[in-house]
Amino acid sequence: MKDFDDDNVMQELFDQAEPRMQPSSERMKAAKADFMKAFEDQQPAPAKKSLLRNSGLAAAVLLSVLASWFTLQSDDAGQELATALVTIESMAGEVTLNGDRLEPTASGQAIEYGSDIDTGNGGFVRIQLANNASLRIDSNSRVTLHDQQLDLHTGRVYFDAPGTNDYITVRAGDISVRDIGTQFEVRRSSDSVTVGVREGEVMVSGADRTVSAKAEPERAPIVEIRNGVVEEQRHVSPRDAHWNWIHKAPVELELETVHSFAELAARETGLSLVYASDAVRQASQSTRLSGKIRVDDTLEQRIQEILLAASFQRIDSNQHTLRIDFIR
Amino acid sequence: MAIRFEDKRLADRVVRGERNAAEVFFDTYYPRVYRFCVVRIRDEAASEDIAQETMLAALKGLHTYRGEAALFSWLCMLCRHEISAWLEKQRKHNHQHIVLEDTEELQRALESLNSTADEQSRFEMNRLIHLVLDHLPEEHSKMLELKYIQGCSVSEIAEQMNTGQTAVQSMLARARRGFQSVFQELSAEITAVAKGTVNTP
Repeated sequence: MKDFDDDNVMQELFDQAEPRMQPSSERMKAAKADFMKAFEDQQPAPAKKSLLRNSGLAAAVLLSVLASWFTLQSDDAGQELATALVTIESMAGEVTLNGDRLEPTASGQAIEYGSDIDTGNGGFVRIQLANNASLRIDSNSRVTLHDQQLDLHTGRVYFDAPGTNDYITVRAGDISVRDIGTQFEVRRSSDSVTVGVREGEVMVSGADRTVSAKAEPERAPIVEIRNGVVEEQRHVSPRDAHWNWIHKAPVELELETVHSFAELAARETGLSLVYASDAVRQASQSTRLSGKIRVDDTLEQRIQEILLAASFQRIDSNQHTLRIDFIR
Repeated sequence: MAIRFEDKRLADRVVRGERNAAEVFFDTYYPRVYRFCVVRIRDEAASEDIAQETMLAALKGLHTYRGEAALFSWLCMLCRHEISAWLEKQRKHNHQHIVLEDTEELQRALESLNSTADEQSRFEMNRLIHLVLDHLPEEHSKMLELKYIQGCSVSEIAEQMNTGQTAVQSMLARARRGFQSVFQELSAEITAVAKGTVNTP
């Protein structure tokens, strides 16, 4: 099988292709207008239905609708409508959601955009976002979660956004950090913002300029910014103990294929995933696993056990790589 | 059964009434459904109508999408129904179509237009590449098209996509890996169909 990671191989293949056909822009615009109208028409109007169904409740519902309308009018015009789109995967210690303390059994609870989340001493929460991205919030942190944006008021957060189309932006005061499909953390204290990039690249924007922080093999940059100026940049390994805090509350995830397990294990542990051959990669994609895997700081020790059960094995030439082959 | 989480989440967001998600859904899939249609019926105007009907049908039925197949594959299934309905209408209103193809003169003209084996192979590869691109996230397919079909440099792509050159290089690497994965998957599927070991997708 050809290696499409090679630029020349890709060019040779694409030399046989023409640009994809597009519908006319006018027609697409008209079709979109019709589609969005159908979408709007499809949205339910529960208050109206309640009024029609039960006239006895009409006055109460009407008052409620008027009160809601009044509240919306008096609020900031940019305020988003709260919609449950993300869920808590696991948590530990003291965590509050909009001021209400969450019970340890809150896993699976939906969170609405616009919510404030606080973690106390020893508190930690792991949240599943849209597009398979994951957010971890460390102890003594306070954040406000929006769609594709997070306001970090204080504390530390970590994002793992594997290959998503939706970018996530973290705002920490005047500093904003925008991911480009990656794993990164942002810490905000009273006088500085620190950005660590474990994998991939993020763009860090201050008041007047934007800089890129990009992870290299075995070199994860940690950038400290004070008063909008990069004061210090150092590097740690993606496998350094620096990242251990992201596993404070273990989570159990469903296994799917050997490949998806390997990708998850590599991302969580900071290993680089490599297959011994294309045949191994293809087989890993079609070999199904069933059951759940506990994701915590002992995950790396269990990788080999799971691979062996599926007739694969880890054959590492160095401690930074998760190299997978068949059992020979 | 693997679940397509990203597709499922987009569908769920539309079903929950998120306007942004509905726009993303339409912008991403309308052109893809249109292309799926136009290579089958070779009628651009009708394809635009059929793609629109497909998207409206999808909107009504999106709550039934369970993420077991890619969202695009699910839309293709709906589109096939719309194409069948359109062809049925055409048959009722255009009997001349069959008669004309039967004339000896026209048959010869059509044969003269037959492509060579090389041209046929190129045509099929062109279609396969388009199909693979349509299965990738929009950003990745757009980037690959800019780079390898339109011949844009990394700096030109960065400018067009309003991002940095290092970001483009990083995304290109991801896009190539994604392309390879889908290309292998679809090639294997097509080979299996050709050998008759699986049903037509």
